[in-house]
Amino acid sequence: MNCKECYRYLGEYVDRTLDDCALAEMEAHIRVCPKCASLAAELGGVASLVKSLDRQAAPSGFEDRLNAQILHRKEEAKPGLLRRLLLGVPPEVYGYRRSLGPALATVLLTAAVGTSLMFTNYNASGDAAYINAVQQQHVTFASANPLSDESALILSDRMKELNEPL
Amino acid sequence: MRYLLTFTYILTLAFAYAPASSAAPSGSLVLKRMLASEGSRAYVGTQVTTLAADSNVTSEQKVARYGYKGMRMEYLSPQRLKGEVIADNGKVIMHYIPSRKVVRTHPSRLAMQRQRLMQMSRGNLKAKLVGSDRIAGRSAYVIEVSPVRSRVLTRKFWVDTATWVKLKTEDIGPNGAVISTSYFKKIKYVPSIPASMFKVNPPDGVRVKRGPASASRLLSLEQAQDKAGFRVLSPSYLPPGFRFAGATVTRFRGDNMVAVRYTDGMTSFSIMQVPDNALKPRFQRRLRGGPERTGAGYSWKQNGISLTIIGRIPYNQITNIADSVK
Ligand SMILES: [Zn+2]
Repeated sequence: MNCKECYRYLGEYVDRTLDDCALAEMEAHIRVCPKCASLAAELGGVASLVKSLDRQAAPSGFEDRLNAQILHRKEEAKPGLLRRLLLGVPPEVYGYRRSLGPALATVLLTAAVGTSLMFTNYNASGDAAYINAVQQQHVTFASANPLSDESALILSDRMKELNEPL
Repeated sequence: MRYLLTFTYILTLAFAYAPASSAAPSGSLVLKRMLASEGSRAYVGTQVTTLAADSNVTSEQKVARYGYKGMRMEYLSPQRLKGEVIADNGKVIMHYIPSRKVVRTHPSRLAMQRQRLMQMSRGNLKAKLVGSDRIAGRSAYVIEVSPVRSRVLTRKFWVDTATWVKLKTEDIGPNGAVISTSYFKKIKYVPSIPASMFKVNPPDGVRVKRGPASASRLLSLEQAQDKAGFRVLSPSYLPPGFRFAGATVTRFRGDNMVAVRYTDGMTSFSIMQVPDNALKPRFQRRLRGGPERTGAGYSWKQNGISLTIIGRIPYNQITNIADSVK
């Protein structure tokens, strides 16, 4: 493998989606080429977590059971605070926790949200897909302004989505 | 806050007493150079973002950026976002959400910035050099940019004196409070970044959920009206300094969704409009009881249309706008 090929496969390399053969070639090149090694190290930091996290994120099939039980009611699943509160609770007690969840979530959110410029109250919308579409449309437009703080816009958008109770 | 003021004061003093020969650039020149660097520079870094006003949430993310060719962001924290990847290859954004095993696609922001889809009204903005600082071990000019007439937002940028890349951004509300901050903890400039970095290669079993394919062109109100198939509403009241920026028409559940956009050059808000029956019955019922504040915006119904105002502007302004919509 030469530098040009090495460069072309860097994305797959840092995502760890290269097949074993290409990976071996790549690693052989990186061992002898300081230029590619340094770039791979820089970029590697950006993407190194994707693979390992995928396994952690869906722990014990619980999420699937949860999905099967409740999320079929919504075409746009909302993991959010409520589901995090419930994560780890066995499915058989879920019915009980479901009635408790929204109240608890509201209390926690009221404590956490503080002095929002605009919204201090995250009502369940009754139409998550609509809210999501509206949010996405606006964020895309707002961050088309090169002066916008894209990271803040994306984070704010994601947190709103996660905080929207079921 | 007092610390910040003192700090700004010292910076201002330091700048005021700098020798005349140091040839410090003007605020508008720094802004111009900063905008030009957006299209070309390649760098990799670790960025920290804090939303003070929303919820006091802080995130840390790895960022790779190569001009308008590509951007990649991966969350390291908070725990709820850890592992999420947002990759923009200049055509489409892929947002990988591991906890939901989904990749969502959105129109490319880089493409819109390249096309200058949202025209900044430069005559509407003033930029002032307010000092210098060090961010991520690099020396930076500090500039303060605000709309000439609007009072919603002032934004400060820390701009690398050698590369003109923005190293830190701070949004300050009308009452002087910091709303959000993003800065690089570490940044390293590289000659280029391979295109393969700007797409997500999700593991097996991940579902791709496609959003609209490309950035829609901005339309005039008349053009949007022609495409919509229903009467598009607009407000007679706008907050000071805001003006119409353009409209888009996209599809939502088989209906047209119209977004009418307004900006003061820094902040923007959208009035989203879709026929009532496009919404889920539960939401329709709620709107029948009057306007609703949801996590996304302020929604109400009027003339058989459901409207939502969304944008980072003060709540009382939102209700003033909503009351004036006809
Ligand atoms: Zn090489």
